[in-house]
Amino acid sequence: MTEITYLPEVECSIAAGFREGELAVSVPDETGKRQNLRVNKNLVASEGGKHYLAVGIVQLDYKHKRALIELPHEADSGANRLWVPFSSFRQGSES
Amino acid sequence: MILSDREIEAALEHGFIKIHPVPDRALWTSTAIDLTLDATLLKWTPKPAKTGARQQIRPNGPGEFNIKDLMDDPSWATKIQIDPRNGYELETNAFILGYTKEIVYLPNRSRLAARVEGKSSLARLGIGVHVTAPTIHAGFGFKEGLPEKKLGSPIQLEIFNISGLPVVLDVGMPICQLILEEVRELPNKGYKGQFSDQTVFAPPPKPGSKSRQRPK
Repeated sequence: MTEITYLPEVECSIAAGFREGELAVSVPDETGKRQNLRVNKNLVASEGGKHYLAVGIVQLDYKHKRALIELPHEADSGANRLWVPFSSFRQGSES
Repeated sequence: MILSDREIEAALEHGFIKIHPVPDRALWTSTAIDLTLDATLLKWTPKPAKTGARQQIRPNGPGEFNIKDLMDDPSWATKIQIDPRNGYELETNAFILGYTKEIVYLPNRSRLAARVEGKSSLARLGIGVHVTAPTIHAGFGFKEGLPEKKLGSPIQLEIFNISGLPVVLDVGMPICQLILEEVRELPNKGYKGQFSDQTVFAPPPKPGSKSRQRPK
């Protein structure tokens, strides 16, 4: 069985923020609903044309292959946490 | 010291605090729990006195003043139910009273107090949820004579909009956050203030009952 290492970063789309050094990011939850927030650029990593937002992992649900994550701060909707599928996470490189 | 999510979870599990219903896991943060908006709102709508005199509120005037009497009095306040489909539009510069759906009880013995604070997402839209009175004192939700399992009260919110934008409030939306803090020593008394039992409104006063209106 192949072991996959996930980093605490989830895929997001990005746009320019309101000020220099800021990005507007949009993170979809497991239902596809997007949560929008503005963060410092250094919270977003880019790899292979994709962008990933650093998040906190609160709870793992192996049965449904999803995780409850905490955003760096409150999204525009008021959400702080959301369930995302494991496939949203950035995968670590094999050691 | 502010309680972390793990400490809040443990406190709930061991009955040191009661929040019912316990908000969904997605409504927790590292140091707070979001509470949600109940369907009932109250808007101050004073009607002109029959004499034509201007009515005033005088909290520190002669005689007894009890704001709950005003809230229950239809000549001062109107109860509103939020439309489940369209929400309630809070106009700019409007002020309403609302409640959390969740009831909260902070047993005195637990040495825990709390603060109810706004949410930054709503703050950016000019929505505030309290007017300088965020403290939920140790003992909140206690009511003499009630069994432990029936204790707890919703938290009353003073909601206002200063953004210049009309903002729609929906039933069940995350409206505020509850931050729990340790109280250093056991308080002498449990909280028994007039809002320790903030159950949603009492019936309107019967005709002829004493009113707290103060015509000038």
